Amino acid sequence: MFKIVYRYILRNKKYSISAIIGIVVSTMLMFSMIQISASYIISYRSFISSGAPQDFYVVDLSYDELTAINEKFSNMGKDKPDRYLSTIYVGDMDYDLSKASVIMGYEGDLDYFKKTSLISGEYPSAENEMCVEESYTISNPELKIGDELTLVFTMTDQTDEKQLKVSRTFKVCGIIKDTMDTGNFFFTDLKTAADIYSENGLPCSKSNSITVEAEEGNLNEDKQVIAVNAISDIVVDGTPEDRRYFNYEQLIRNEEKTANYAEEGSFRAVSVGIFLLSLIIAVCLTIFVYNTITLSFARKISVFGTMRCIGLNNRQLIRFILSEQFLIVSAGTIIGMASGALLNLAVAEKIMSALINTAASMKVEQKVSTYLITYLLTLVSAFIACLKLILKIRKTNPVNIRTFNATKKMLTEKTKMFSSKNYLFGLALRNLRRNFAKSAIQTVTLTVSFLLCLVISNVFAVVGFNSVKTAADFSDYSIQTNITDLKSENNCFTEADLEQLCSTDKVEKVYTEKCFVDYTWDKAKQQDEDDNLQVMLYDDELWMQFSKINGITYDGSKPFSVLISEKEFKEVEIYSRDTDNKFSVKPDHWFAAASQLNYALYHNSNTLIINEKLAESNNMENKGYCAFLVKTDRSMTELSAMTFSASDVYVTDLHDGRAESESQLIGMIIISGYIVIATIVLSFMIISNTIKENMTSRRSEYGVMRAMGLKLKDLWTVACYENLVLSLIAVLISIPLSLIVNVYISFVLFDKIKISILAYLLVNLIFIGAIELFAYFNIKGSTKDSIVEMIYER
Amino acid sequence: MIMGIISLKNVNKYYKTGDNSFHALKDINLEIEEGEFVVILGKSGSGKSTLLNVIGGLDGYDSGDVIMEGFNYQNADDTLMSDLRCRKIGFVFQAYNLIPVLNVYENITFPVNIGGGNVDKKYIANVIKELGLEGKEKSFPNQLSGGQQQRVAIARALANKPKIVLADEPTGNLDTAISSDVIELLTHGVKEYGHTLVMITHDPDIAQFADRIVTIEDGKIV
Repeated sequence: MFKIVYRYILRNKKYSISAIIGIVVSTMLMFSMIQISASYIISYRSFISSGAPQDFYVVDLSYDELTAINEKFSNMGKDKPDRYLSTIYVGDMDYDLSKASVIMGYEGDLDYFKKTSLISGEYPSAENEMCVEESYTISNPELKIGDELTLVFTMTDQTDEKQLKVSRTFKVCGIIKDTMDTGNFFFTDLKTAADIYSENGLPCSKSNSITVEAEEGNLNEDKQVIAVNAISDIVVDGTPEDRRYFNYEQLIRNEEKTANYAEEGSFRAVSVGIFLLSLIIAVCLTIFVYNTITLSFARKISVFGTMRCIGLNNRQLIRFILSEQFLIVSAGTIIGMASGALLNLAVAEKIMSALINTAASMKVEQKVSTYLITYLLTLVSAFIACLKLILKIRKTNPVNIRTFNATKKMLTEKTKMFSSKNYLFGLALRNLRRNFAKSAIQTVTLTVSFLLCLVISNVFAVVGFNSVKTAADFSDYSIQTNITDLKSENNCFTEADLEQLCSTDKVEKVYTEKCFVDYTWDKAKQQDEDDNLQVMLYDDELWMQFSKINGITYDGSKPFSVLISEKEFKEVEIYSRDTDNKFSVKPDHWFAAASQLNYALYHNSNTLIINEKLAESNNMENKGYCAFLVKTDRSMTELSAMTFSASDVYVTDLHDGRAESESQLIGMIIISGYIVIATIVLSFMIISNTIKENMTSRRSEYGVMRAMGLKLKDLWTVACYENLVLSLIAVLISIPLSLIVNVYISFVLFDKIKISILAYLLVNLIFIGAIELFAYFNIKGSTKDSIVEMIYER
Repeated sequence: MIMGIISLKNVNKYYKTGDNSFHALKDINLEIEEGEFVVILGKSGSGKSTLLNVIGGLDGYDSGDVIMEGFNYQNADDTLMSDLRCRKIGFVFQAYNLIPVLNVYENITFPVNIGGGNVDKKYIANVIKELGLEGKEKSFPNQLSGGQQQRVAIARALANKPKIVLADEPTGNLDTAISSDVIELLTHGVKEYGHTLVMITHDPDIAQFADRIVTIEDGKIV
């Protein structure tokens, strides 16, 4: 049987190749999308876990504080952090002794944070017990659990940096390996470590710390806050200075991880978005495979009938059908997946990086499950198509197999006759009624294609590809001071600094941002909310640039403000921390997305930007300048070498970010083009197949009509009418569905509804036009056959 | 020589399949008069159906002329040929070839409607009555017997009052009893309305009713 199938496939090269090509293209696209979607989540997960695992750690803690914190955590019930590790650094040993050289005191989730493995024995549970690193036992093979071990190590006095050689004897309680730290370590318990310090008269090391991960794998902000507060209650003595020291010196948050957790939403949104697209393509693919197989059956139905007539039994015929389709679908799917994998190697990483701006390294993950899903999906759709035929074959006499397509159910004596007024249209409608299931499938096919194209084209249309405007469009560098430390003296730029800069050779223009005294006016809160906003003041010239970029009208003679926030508030209250002074501002504008346009101006997402007039009218004193934006031909090195009044100054090249954003823009264009082309190719393939299948299954009938005198152009008219009706139905269904999807997508992207009427009109017109063109070319293609050949299906 | 309703002059047709070429019609010269009943006889593969298809414009030919009422097929584009088939030629196929989505009445009036003409309801009603299809107007082909379907096909062929009716083994799929009924209806219908009838058949009993028998052998008229 296999030989016959194989020969049959080779003899029908044209069909076989066209079917395989169709399956290759659609499988390639679907596979590519599924792989990208899956890779996003994997990249994100590996990125999150690739760096330091902690959410935060607190340094400069005494042993008593560490002990108190551990005790407090253990009594916190459900608020207790999932993972925490207290450490006391003891000292360094001579490097020659082993791979490990550091002695630490640990208590807590050592396995989790340091990724150790206990080879034998146990972790320290009593004083003076020690776990030694495996490499030490290799160079000292006679060492065993329970032995006493004297180590000589160097401790440092943090106050005067003096070093002290210390010798101490420990009892070996365990042997560990796979310690992640460079230099590796031996470790004892916290008490022993603390005792070593006190025995040698040394103060507590600044590197004593507690590391906390509030919840494994997830950032639970509330839980993190509770943990921080629990620690600060123990560590902070209540004075503002001490609190400030804790907040800014002792408490070290894993900003990268926090920022990356914040990106989780983006990752998931993009991943879900791409996966949804891949699902839609998967639906198109299954419809396409179904169509392809149905088309091939339409061409071969008489052959099957003949095979049955000459002696092939049902089972053999079914095996023939399944074998042929299995070979074709498998060939198409395997080539398609290979092509998809190659395609992803070429473009996927650009696409992935383009969609999310992150430090995560995006790479395409090769997972067996992606291949399996794709393969199974195509096989299943092929099987469903074959199933329909197989079920019919089993019930039908061999001689009647040819008449599968005959109308039986839908048309009866009660069917209304159509008038001769628009005869061809009536004929078209009757054709659609002839097999309602087939017409329904064709409508679904068209609807899915339309839907896909409407969604893609709308996104394409509303995103727009204008270059993102940033400060880099009108300046080259920003010179900034540390605005979080405004209380300190000499941390603002002065008028003299501004004058110096303006008078520097090759400096074309300087824009300024101002800050306010003492934090008192530097905080604002939204009505009934506790979010802290930052308050910035732009000079009028900077306002002009800002307004131009954001398309707003600015009048410097009036108080003016813009709120950059994810939420829109009608009123913002600016208050003084230390006095009762406060006033309300109703921002003239607010932007959710504008912060992205202005990210180069280093704002965080919650900023109220005011003008001089507003500051003046509310008696807001300002201390000086916190930033300059400079347009200049000078280099960054030259600017960095300049001396300013502010002590903490840093210079940023604004064009650095620009190159990245331009490459992201290119990435966006690539992915949009990729998706649009994929959509169009797949949709047109499906439509073309649908029309071909109609033509093929009714070839004889069309031949008879031609014999009766139907002109070719009239035949085309009938086909056009049929496709037009199906298209219009598909349009009527796909428009509301696509609107729902597009509303959701536009909210995710822009926080508001953005629908492009033009895109909708164009897509519908192009598709309907394309469908009619396909019909025309198919009809035209039939002119090469004589009418006799059509009637007798030669 | 009086020009008949249709005349073929030195018509040749070849069938090409791959590198092979088969000479299906060899220098065919044939005149058919108006109102004549002509039977084309010949063995299987002799070229009977090919000749009929060429006459009806369903198939092309490679050389010669086919002229119907002064109109040369060589000069016709698709529109003109379609018009010819619609208005002047009626076909009856062996396998009936009714259009499955149209009921009996719609099948019969199909050539009239696609030609843009008005249906002569009285005439059609007469044809339906003559062919014993009364009461079946709204039935669909799959609800009819073979004989009934063939009668519909005949009625369809007559619907546009064609000049010539071409019937390719119209009784080939029918049993003897029905066959003779159908032949009688066909010949009666044709005579009644003054059409010319050209029929292919194997059956010598049918051939005896013809005004003329044309025998074709190996693509040549003998």
